[in-house]
Amino acid sequence: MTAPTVDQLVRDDGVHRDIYRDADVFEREMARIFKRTWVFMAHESEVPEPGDYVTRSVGREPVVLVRGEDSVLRAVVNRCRHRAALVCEHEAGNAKSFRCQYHGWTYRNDGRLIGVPHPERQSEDVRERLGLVRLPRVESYRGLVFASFNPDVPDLAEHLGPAARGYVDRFLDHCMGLPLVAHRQAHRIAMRGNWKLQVENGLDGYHAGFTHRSFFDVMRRRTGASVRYASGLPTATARAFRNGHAAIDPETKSRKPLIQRVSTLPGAEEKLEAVRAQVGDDKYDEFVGGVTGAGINVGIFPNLQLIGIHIRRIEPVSVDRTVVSVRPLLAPDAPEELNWLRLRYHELFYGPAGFGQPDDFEMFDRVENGLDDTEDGWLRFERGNGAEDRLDEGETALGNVTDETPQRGQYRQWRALMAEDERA
Amino acid sequence: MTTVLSEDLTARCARFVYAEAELLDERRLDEWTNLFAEDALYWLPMNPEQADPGDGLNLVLDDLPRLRDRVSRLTSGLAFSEEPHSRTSHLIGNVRLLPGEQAGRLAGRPVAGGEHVVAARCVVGRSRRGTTETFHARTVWILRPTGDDFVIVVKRVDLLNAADPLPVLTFLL
Repeated sequence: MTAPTVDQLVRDDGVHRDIYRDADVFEREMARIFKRTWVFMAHESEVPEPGDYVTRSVGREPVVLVRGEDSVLRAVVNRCRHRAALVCEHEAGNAKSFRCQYHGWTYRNDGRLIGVPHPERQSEDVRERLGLVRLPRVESYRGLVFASFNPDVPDLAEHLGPAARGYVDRFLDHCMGLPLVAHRQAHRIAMRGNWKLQVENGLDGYHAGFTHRSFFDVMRRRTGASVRYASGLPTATARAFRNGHAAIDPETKSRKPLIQRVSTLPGAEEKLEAVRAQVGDDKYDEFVGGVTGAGINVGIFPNLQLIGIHIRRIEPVSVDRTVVSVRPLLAPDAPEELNWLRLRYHELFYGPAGFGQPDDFEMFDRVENGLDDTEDGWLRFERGNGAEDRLDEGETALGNVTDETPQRGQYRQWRALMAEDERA
Repeated sequence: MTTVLSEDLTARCARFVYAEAELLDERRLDEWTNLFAEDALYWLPMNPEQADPGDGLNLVLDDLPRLRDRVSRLTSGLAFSEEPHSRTSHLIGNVRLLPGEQAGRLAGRPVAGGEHVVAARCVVGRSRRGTTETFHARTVWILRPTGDDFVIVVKRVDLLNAADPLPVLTFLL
């Protein structure tokens, strides 16, 4: 039996269960998606100084993103060229060099091999030949660092495109336009489920009012205000851009309900007074409303989402295991108390013990169980299909916030990347 | 004489935290919440060295109103990650009273006169939908005497793997 073709697995309005279950499909995704396109690595503020590094993955490839002594950011494969042991065991740190502790091969932080114990029994050109494998492309957009194994991938700005860049800008400017830096800690959740379940869910404007009802109920009880997510509001939109990027935009202008929610945070009263004293009455609402984020969800295919105040990185582990990292962003130039409130609001909804995010993981778990069914076999992304408007000279497909416009866009890109070999 | 008193105090504190765990494991959550003082903190940090609850990203940082929110959400039938809910089994060992300096560093807030800082090692089994997992933690309580009993001023739980990718932790530790 031959493997199913991409067109048999993904249609315009739905996907087949095999793309979440078939280990061969997962292998092809690692090769055709994660090895071929731009993959998000980190925020520049995680590696500000020469020698600063973070260990990450591109698909499953272990990678070190490291700033060299020349201040250039490089991505190198975290694997000794000799006998394949990792050369860096830490999640983050600062190092002038990385030493493989198996036989002592040592690499400078730009990847060059500089030390081989007992070199007399090694060919003379070993240092020139066997530096750490370097990813040919590393680029950043407004502090978001991406890397690619594909030397021919288009420039990052072009890959993102103007419409998605506009939403990334809006997200990054949400704290009064002040520069944002990544927090040193991130919530990380080890989820049972295929990585694409999180890709779909982060841009899903349909689920919030159902999956997260309990969060909205708590907020209603505490604030006295009945605020639900803008599901179904005619002005709230879902958008698909080029290359699988997408956004959902509830377009709620009122900050009052958000400020009410912030005021329920532990210790908020005192912190809010301190914020008011520092920013003044006129800017208070805008500052405090921004504690909850930009109010939009932005997805950069395949592994980056910008939601709330956080950067979400999706790491596929195996066909049914994924690690999701959510790292808050803070504004060092804003009042300290505002950043304190940002972290508290983030903790309220997100992380393994938050009031919101765990229920998404529960749904992924239930999907994983439901995928046992083979009678139907199809998952449907047909809401609003065929009823989308086109904006930005056709670049943007525009639907209502509950439409599955983003997911259709994500799977168009999935299909385009996965089908390349089949066409060749 | 002092030693005898202190032994007795350790034993009383241990009895209290055993009873607290039993309320969790029997899912008597309203009674459990009532053990906490008005100014209480229920705290799961991600860094065992963290001294100030606000200085870092936490898994949980609840004051009493938020803790009540947490329990009411868990029992609402709409907190789907706990629907059906987890069954837990807390086993508490190495119970000891912490001396002043160490107590101050772990307690997350100044310890008032008369309050006791209790530390223990906990093994928590958690079973849900056919899967049983084990969690290990160092737990620290600040207990404030009230009459014959105590109220919880702080309950701090440092999971051994708090900084690693974690499963959903919506049950109570």
